[in-house]
Parts: sequence; C-alpha cells; structure tokens
Amino acid sequence: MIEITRYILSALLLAIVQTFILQEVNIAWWIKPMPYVMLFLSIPISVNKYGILIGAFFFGMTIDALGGSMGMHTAACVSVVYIKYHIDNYFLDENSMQLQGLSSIHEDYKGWQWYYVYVFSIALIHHLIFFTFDYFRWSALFTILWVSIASACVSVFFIQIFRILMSKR
Amino acid sequence: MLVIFRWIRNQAHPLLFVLLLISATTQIFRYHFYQHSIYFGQVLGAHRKIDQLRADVKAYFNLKQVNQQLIAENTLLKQQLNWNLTYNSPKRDSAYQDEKTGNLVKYDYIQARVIRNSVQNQNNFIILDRGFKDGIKRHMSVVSPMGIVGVVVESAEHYSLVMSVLNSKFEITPYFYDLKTSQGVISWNGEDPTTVDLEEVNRFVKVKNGMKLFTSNYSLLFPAGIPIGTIISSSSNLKSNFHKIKVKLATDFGQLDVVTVIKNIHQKELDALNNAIPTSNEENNNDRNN
Repeated sequence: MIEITRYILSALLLAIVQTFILQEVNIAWWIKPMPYVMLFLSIPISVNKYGILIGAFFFGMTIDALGGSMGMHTAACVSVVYIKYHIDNYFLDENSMQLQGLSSIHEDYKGWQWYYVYVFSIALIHHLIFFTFDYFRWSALFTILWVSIASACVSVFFIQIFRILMSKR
Repeated sequence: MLVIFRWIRNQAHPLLFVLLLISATTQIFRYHFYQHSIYFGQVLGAHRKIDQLRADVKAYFNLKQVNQQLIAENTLLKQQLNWNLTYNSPKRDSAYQDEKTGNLVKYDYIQARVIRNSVQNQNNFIILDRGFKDGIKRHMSVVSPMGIVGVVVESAEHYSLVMSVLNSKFEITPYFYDLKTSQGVISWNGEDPTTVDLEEVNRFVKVKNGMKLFTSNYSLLFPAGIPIGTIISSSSNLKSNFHKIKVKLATDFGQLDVVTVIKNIHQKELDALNNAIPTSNEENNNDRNN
C-alpha cells in the first residue's frame, strides 16, 4: 500500500514538473523533453499488466488535463507501457533479476551500456508516438524523427538527474 | 459463442490496450487541433485557474525578457505616436483627437497579457486576458514589441482568442522596405515556429538575404510598418515564375508575454467600404438588369 502511494505521489510530482516547468521553459523548438517516462521504468516489472495499462492511461490524462494537450500524452503513455511489456518479456529475465535483488531495470542488471540503450529506447518510443500524433502528417516524417531523437536524449539526461536526486534522499 | 469468449479472455491485454488507445486518440481528434476555438467557452471556465497559474509560472521565468520587451515596446509606441501625428492632417475633421494629449491619432492601443500560447500545433491560437469589456473585438490586430503576433478571432467578456501567425490559415502580404514594394503572401508551413514561407514573389524581384519585411499599407487589419521578419534564404529556378523564400519571424512566439491589441478608430468606415465592393456575381447580375 505504501509502495502504491509512493508511486502515485511521484506520478503527480512528475506530472507537475512536466506541465509547469518543462513545458514552459523553451530550450529549443526541437527539444521537448518528457522525463516522466521514468515512472514506467521505476515500476517493478512483476506488477499487474492490466493495472499498469490503466494507471498509464490516467497518468497521461492528468498531464493532458494540466497541460491542455487533450489525449496526446495519454496515447503516448498507454502505447509505451504496452510496448514496454512486450520488450520486457523478450529481453528481461525476471528470475535472474530477482536473484540480483532488483525489481525494476537497473545498471547492475546487465551493465550501464545495456541500461542506457534500454532507457533511451523506451524514451524514444514514447517521444515518437507523441510527436507522430502532434505533427500528424507524412511530410513531417523527418521532423518527427529528429525532434524525437533530440528530445529523448534530453529526457534521458533529466531522468538521470531525477534518479540522482531521489537516490541521495 | 464460447470460442468468442475464450478469444476475448486470451486477448484481454491487447484489447484493453486498443480500447484505451482509441479513447486517447478520440480525445486528440475531438479537442486538439481546434480545441480553443470550438470549446472556447469550456476553456475559459475549466482551464481559467490553471491557465492563470501557468501564466504566473511562465511570467516568473521570463521576467528578464519581459523587461527588455517593455523597453522596446515604449520605443515602438513613441514611434507610432510620431507616425500618427504626421500621417493625420490636422485639417481632417474625421481624425480622432485624443482627449488627454490633444494628439490626432488613427489607432488605439490596448495592452494585454498572453495567458495561453502554443507553438507546436498545426493551427496555433493565443488567449489574451482582455475581452470585449476592454474594447477588444474581432479582426483587431495583435502585435508584440518585436513584431506581428496575429488577429483577434473571438472575444469573450474578459478574454479573447487570437489566431497566431503560426496558423495555417493566417496569411499576410509583406512590404519590402529595401525595394519599396508590397508583394507575395506569407504563411506558416507548420514546422519551425521561428520561420515562415513567403510565396508568390515574382522571380524578377531582386530579393536578398537580410532584407527586412514590414506590414504593408494595403492591409485592412494591421497598421503599416510593423516588423514581420527578415529574409534568411531565397531560391528560384527557371521552371517557376516565383521565388521560394524563407523568412525568420521578428516575434519569438516561445517568449510571448505582453502584447498590444491595435484598434483602428476608422474600422467601421473601412468595413462599410469593404462590404460595398460588389462581388463578380453581383456585377454580372447588374449588367444583365441594365
């Protein structure tokens, strides 16, 4: 119960940071970081797959309601959680993670290179879905790719900062 | 029947995903592109407090730029005043005399603050914290200290909706200061919010990079001489009669905060004249009647 409350609180905090700070600070038109993806990375992989899908839906709706983007974050969150479930099934071994005492993805699992590739891939998938709905036309295909890659890099950077801040606490 | 139920039970996870995704995409298609204009009433009601809070947070981050903008705006207002004084002859009895200063002016300026702004959509709109109670009506032009911003498309009691230059439906003809000519149409292609496209400029016009563009005196909405932007690239080939020009906007839409809504005092006269222009169908009918 305490764990669930902790995740709900961190979800709210991430939603507020996203809508009130990151969305308002204009770094460059092609950089729109969305580090709240870290919420899905920090949730244990053994968690109920239906629960996390519905949770992601409401989390996306919260960000959309606060930011006025109506459905865009919701679609991206739901899709990334669904795709992440299949990626985890294919690439992660839950038993060996449990032996290492890990509940979610961590540098200790397969080394930091593998960890960063995983985090960047999840962030990139999320950003690609978001910007596809945002631009929503074929002519902007390369813009979508470029903006997604640039924003995903910055998101991974922010995710690391948040992780450092949380681990010190 | 049993097969269907079994199939649904086996595919519950993908089905739940598709259901939630459809729900999210429905929201996007229903609200996203034109949400401000269609659901303007709801936006004002439900998002008003959140918008104010967001505007406050944004204002805090932009304090330095706002100060610079205000200084630039003061300069611009002074220039506009001079321009007004020389433009209106004192003999013209239709010219409006300002009660406080006694100056003859053609335009009124209403200060407003941006409380909602977007640059990432195909059709961007801006919401200002002034409405028809402050004298704002449709078709009034909106400028920032840096340059043009858009046109008022709707005004409520205390708020108004502005169609931004970063909107696929916004078009304006620029004035080339260096060439002393007005040509072409400026519109946004929906990609980079700092640049717009200038099309339909004859390829024999000698366009150079760095040329400044201003609003022309043919515009019924904007006063003449307000900065639009600077040409950053131009190309032409023998196949087309027109240049392909990219213009860097004078206004930084990411930093928009304080804007000025311009009210033309003679707007009613202009509208009446504009409505009196016969359309081609009417002309044909008149010819037949005669």
